[in-house]
Amino acid sequence: MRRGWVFRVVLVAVAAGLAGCGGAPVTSARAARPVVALPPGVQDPARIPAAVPAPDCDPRASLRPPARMPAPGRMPAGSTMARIAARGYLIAGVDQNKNLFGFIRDGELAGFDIDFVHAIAAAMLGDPDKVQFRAISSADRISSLNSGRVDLVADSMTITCDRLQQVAMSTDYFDSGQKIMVRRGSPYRSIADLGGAKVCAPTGTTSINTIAGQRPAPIPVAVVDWTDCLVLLQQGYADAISTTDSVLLGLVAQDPTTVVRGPRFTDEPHGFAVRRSQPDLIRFVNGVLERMRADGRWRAEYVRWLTGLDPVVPAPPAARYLG
Amino acid sequence: MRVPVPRDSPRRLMAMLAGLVLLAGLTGVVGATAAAHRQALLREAAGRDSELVTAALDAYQALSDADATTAGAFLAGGAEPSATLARYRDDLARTTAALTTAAAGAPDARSAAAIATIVDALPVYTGLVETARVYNRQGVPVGAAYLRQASHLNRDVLLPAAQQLYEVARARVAAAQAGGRSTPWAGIALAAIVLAGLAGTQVHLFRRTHRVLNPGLLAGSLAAAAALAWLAIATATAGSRSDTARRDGAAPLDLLAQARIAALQARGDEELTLIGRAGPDAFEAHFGGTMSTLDGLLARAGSAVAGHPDTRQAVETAAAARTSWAAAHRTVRGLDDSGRYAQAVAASVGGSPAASATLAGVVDSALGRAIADSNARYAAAAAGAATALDAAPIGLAALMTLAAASATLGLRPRIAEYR
Repeated sequence: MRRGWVFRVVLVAVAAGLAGCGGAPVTSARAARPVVALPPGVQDPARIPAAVPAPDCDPRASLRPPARMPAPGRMPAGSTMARIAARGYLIAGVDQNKNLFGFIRDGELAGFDIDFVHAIAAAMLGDPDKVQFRAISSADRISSLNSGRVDLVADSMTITCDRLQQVAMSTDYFDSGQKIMVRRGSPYRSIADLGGAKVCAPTGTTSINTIAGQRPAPIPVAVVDWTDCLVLLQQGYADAISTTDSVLLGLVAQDPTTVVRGPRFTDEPHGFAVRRSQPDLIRFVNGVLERMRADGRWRAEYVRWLTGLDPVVPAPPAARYLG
Repeated sequence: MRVPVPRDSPRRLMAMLAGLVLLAGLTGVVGATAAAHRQALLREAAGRDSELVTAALDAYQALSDADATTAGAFLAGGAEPSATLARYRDDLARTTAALTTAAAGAPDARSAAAIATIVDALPVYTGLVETARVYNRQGVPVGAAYLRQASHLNRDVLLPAAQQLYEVARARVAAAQAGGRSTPWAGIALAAIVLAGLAGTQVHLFRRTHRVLNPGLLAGSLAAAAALAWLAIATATAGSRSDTARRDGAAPLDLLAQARIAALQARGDEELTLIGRAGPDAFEAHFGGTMSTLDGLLARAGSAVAGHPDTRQAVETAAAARTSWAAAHRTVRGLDDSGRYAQAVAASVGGSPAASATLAGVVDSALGRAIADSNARYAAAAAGAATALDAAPIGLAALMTLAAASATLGLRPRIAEYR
């Protein structure tokens, strides 16, 4: 009786002592889990801000250029241009991932939009290279202007009545319209076939809003940069990219297994943007555009970058002025 | 249950003997188990768990270095130099070697989950880096998007998993050391009771027989006293060596590891700010915060290793390089913010001794040396702590058996006298 009791105490003590001496290693088999790596900042589905009703307007109409354009380096005293000249360089917000418009080539920013910025800098400061480029994402275009981080946004920005409430925009310097881009051999022929499919565009673009507004409704997938859309299409995560055919041209050029399809289903004018409080700057930019349309430089820029869109060089969009 | 104490002496002596023998046996088992258990914990802290800490730190450092190396190569542009390619390959090899070490019998579910996360995501990461490389070589803009995706996967999935692995390993070392350092009160109390019982029996016999000393009981008492002293001294020695391991090894190691991680993050931040061409953005803000964290960590690590000149010198080298790096970074930002982007890139990754990436490399390698020093000190002291308990389990069991046997031999003639 007594021996049994003591024996049990000893047994318990030994067992407790041994049990505390380290656990068993984990060796059980585990299930396979494929890793889906996504670009930073993906929204699937995209959060589309509720449309703010904007007063009706003519998006193609802008402020008239000054009667006499000032000579380079001789900006009128007190003007926005004079303040930029005093700083020594223009600060332009651009995309660095938009092939053919604003992108890195051999370590330098190049493209259709970038060349226009150089032309504006040359007209204002007498030197096309007196520019500090700041890469901005589509979503930050308006905020980076209004916070004063940049003087000018040159990023194939569609002119809309809504945006004209927040920033001042130049005359139309480029017309295009939205199409779809898919993998070769995919069954999608036009935006109408993409109901329920994942269609990509960056946050803060008119394109993502247009995608979300289509019926039958696609699933809009928003990213930070246009090239993120190409990554998602290549990785089979997105079924299509949809934006203006000019931007799609730059994306298709990077991957021969993709193709642009369908008719244009939007008609979009594009402009440069500045702060609303600086109408003198937008008049100056319009003056530069006016000259480039007239002296053949607009045509030369088109030939340099965009003949893949249409080998027959179109006439530059005609300027329309308010009043 | 109350055992009635027999009134007559022989049965009373027999009961006392039985009690002493049982108590001595119990003490032997409890004492030996306590010593063996502590030794097992301390061996674990010095061996397996410590290996896991090193492996987790290696994996973190290598992954972080891979991120910064690929970003720097992209920034420098053009064909990647073979040195950069070799460094990236070396980072991958160190990551997989560390993972293999960590995965060899992952000690618990949390570290197994962290290892699984890294094993799952690493091939995807390398795939993205290689895709980015091929596109960048052709000057195709989508390459930068693949690089961003790869960096995002590294910073968002791989590094947090490596950090989790490190925290689990560190907690295991701390828990094992706390367990191994604890005083075995039950064993000590039991040994004291045996000693008191032997003395009480001696007094009882003296009153009955007026014989001053019973040699058997005396030998038993000596054995029990030796066992008590062994248990107390061996565990106290193990505890103090374990404290040394923590103070001179684990504590500075933790600070130094955090400092190295902060330095790598700051280097990545500087490069990503330039790659983004967005001026002072979120990465630049993160850089500022991380550099001041690094400053604080280096100061604390410096005082933690104050008694070890070689390690202290390595930490001072790192701190001096950090100061120069902060100045170089201001130059980089000044150039970038005034529109001289190409010069800013050259000042960052240009490879000159004053370039910020070079100085960040000095911080990293100096901290690597200090970490290796602290690790070696930890390993030596932690192994010493476990050694203090060598032979204690067998010795305690033997001594208590000896105590029981001596008491039996001493009391048997006295019990026989009554016959």
